[in-house]
Amino acid sequence: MTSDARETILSRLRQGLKASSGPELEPDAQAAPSSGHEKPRPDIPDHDFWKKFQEELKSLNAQVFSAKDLTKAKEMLARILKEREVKSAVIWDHPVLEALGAARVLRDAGVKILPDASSREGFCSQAGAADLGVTSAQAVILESGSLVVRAGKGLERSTSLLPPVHLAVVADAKRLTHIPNLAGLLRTWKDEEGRLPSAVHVITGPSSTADIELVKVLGVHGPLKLIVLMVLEGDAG
Amino acid sequence: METKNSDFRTRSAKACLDVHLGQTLKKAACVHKAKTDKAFLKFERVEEFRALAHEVKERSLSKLPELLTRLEASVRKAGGVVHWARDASEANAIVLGIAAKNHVRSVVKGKSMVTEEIGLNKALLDTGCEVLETDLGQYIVQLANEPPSHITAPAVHKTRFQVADLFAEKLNVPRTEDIGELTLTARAALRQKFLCADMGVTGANMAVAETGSIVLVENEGNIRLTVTAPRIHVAVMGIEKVVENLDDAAVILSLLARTATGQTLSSYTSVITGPRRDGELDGPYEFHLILLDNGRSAIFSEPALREILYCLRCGHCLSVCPVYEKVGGHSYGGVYPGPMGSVLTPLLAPVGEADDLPFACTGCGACAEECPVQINIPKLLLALRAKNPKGKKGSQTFAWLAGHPGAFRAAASALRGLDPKLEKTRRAPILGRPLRAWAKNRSLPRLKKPFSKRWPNLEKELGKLRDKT
Repeated sequence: MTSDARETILSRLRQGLKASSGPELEPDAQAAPSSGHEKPRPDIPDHDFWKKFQEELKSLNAQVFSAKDLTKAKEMLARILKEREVKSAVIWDHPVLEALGAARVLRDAGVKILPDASSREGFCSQAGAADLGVTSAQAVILESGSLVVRAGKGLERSTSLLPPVHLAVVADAKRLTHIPNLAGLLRTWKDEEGRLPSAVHVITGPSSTADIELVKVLGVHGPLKLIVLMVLEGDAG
Repeated sequence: METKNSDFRTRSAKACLDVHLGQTLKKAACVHKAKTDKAFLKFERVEEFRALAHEVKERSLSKLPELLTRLEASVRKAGGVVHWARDASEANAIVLGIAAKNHVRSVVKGKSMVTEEIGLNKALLDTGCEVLETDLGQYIVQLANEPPSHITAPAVHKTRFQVADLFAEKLNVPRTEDIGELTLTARAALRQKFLCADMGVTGANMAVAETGSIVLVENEGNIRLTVTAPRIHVAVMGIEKVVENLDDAAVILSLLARTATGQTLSSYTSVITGPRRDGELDGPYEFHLILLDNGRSAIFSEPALREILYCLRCGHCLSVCPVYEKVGGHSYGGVYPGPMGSVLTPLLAPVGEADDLPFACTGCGACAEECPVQINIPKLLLALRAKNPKGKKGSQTFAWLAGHPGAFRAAASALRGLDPKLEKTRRAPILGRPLRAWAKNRSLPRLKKPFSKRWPNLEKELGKLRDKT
């Protein structure tokens, strides 16, 4: 059935292309596909970039912490855990979090790290039971105040989605100024077979809705709260 | 759909009598306008991007067959399965087949207009599956057993009080009118359902031929959950939604959230490429993409109408349309209401059905002015009106008169002398019928004094009004 459908649809469309005197494009326009729609722009200095990025994040109701080095970041993380009374967490296996010693900070604060290997529950269920999900943004977009996270081994999709609080560490993240820069970033993430990661999520603020009377409510099916811990070494902070 | 039983005139006349609906729609239109105006004020390159987005859709459609086969190959390379469906029943049969093969008992859904179009929920329910809509607005209309009334805000016609009653009755929770608490009620009710569901069904905002990815845009996180927790993900997509490459997708993303909700980007923009890979602990084991025609290839073959296939389903034209604001989405009687729906619904429906929708437009042009991909909707509506045989004679006569000022003045002055209130003409056997129909919802012009003579006074009055505001 499907193969018939395929041929029928494609032949109808080919007929439609022939029949229509529709908008024919100049050969030039057809030949220039992936050159990118974003013109090169003057580079924004580090300090300005991160300052503006923090402003965007705050306007999205994200809570922002900024640390000058890893030691300060550790202290901040410990304080956040204590203030929010975090009892359990899921955490990515990611170099930035390793450098920060995040898992150690969590354990020292008495936080149980999930998934519990002895449990029969799947990863999603366990992530759903955790108080906190800890990830590291691989890139950020200035224009929209977005964090970009990609899935992979040790980089579960649920971590930034199921717990009521998502904490993203931003250190060593790729800086994108505009939304169209996303295309170039994604291309650098293709594997040797040319495949993109199975999932890339551009996260812009906590989950939200305005489905009742167009009144905005923060926190629906995803995290109720988004915390961003930025590690900005040198004078970038 | 309801189109068979009544017409736009009947449904909209009823809707206009609903005071609550009128207030709710008016408020929603104001809020939407304030949000999107603010977003566009902040986005100085809006016109440049609208032109770019128009070009992206024009180019994508100009090589649609090629892009679809490239998309198919890329999805396969990423480990996904591509299905082709000529119509709604084929698409539903494919979903049911996947469900049966995998012993699916429960399905969670991300909001998808195309699955409304094919009536997928009913098809799944008929096989004994549990099917849950998970977008808050769509969940509300599913509980209320109503169709959505807006393509991006399905429950925009409901007040918080109505939702409070509905939740108290259907979910057995204490009644609350607090919108935040109502939202948390839905979160709690659906969380466990996500974790237990066997299959997740979504639409797709776009598909990228270059990479075989689908792009999903949302705020609530329900679509992410739908493509994260269940073991199977099925995405249903109209064939017109494919773009050539990631740059094209990024251009459209620069506009989509801004026009849909006034956000720079929605809370979650997900680029999904195939099922989970080896070593990953979440995400579906199977990914299926269903490419649906259902009338689109016929629209594609009509150059005068092809532009409606550029539509991103952002919902902005509904929210800025003065007719929609008065009559609400249910008056249109189809899945797609408002300006884009008035073009698409009659084209997707059987011939002769819903053909009154192109007339539900004042020609004000607000939709065309604000469309993110610059679709000239009023022009498409006129093209559809021209195809409609009903009322053609009357319009043709009027068009001829309007083009011949001498004849127009002569006819008007004759009528002015003989029948200034158009009472006799209205009762006349041949001329009277179209006039009576036309006058049913309008007041007929008084012909006592020609408009050209009334204009100087009118102009003064308008000037005074303008000064006041």
